[in-house]
Amino acid sequence: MAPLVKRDQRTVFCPKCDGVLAVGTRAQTVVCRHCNRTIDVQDYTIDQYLARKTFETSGDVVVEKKGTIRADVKARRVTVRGKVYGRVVARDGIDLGLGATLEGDIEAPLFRMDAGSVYIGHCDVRPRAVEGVGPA
Amino acid sequence: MADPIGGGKEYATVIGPDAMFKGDLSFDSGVRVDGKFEGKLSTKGKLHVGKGAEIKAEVCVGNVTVEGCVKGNISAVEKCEVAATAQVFGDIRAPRMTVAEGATIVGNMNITPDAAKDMAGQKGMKVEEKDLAAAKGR
Repeated sequence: MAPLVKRDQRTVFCPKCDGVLAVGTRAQTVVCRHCNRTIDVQDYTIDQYLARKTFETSGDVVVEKKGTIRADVKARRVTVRGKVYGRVVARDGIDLGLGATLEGDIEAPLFRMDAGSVYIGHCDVRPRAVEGVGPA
Repeated sequence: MADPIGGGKEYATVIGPDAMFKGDLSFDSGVRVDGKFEGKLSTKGKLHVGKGAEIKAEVCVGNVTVEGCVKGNISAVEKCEVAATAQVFGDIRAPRMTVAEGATIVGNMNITPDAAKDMAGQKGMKVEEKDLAAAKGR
């Protein structure tokens, strides 16, 4: 059941359990009431080198031209103008801009790619490709 | 009503919406498929898969624009365009590719500038590997 959203709140999905949460508009991290795990709800803009095992957020991730991510990425919407090496799972969609490089599997309901970008990997783009809709 | 995308006059060969073809087809110029096709399709020119088209085939072309359903691998020497109404189930290999939002794509993709060189020189590479293997065995 979707939570009631107040005026200064927004709806996010937990990247761990796909649960629906109502969080404050200025919130950066919250504890998911479904799986009791701390989740990141910020939007990120990457314009440097970032290397991790996983990079998860309920917000959007934008990789600028000078940015590089070496990690498995899970976010709401992923926009790549730089380089990403790893698996990318997006709840809303993935956008590969001009000159972008993406090496890794992708999973999203929407995918847009500009001519001139480089992509190598397995692609699973179809409606409701993301696992689960969220617990009731 | 004229088709705004790739009118019939642009393509020397057209497989109409009520046509069904099964087999291997190869062309030098462009081909537009609006019906059903099963087998293997190769052309040095352009392939246009219309909105209502269903293709179950290995596709080896110069340029390809997909608006319909393709079940099979696609190899394009120049460019691959996937429209919002397209459904592609198979691997795609091309040096350049554009994908519109709304397309369904399931398969491995290799979209790099070197993809065209690999496809063009594939025969040559196989010969070299055989020669190397034979040389090692001696």
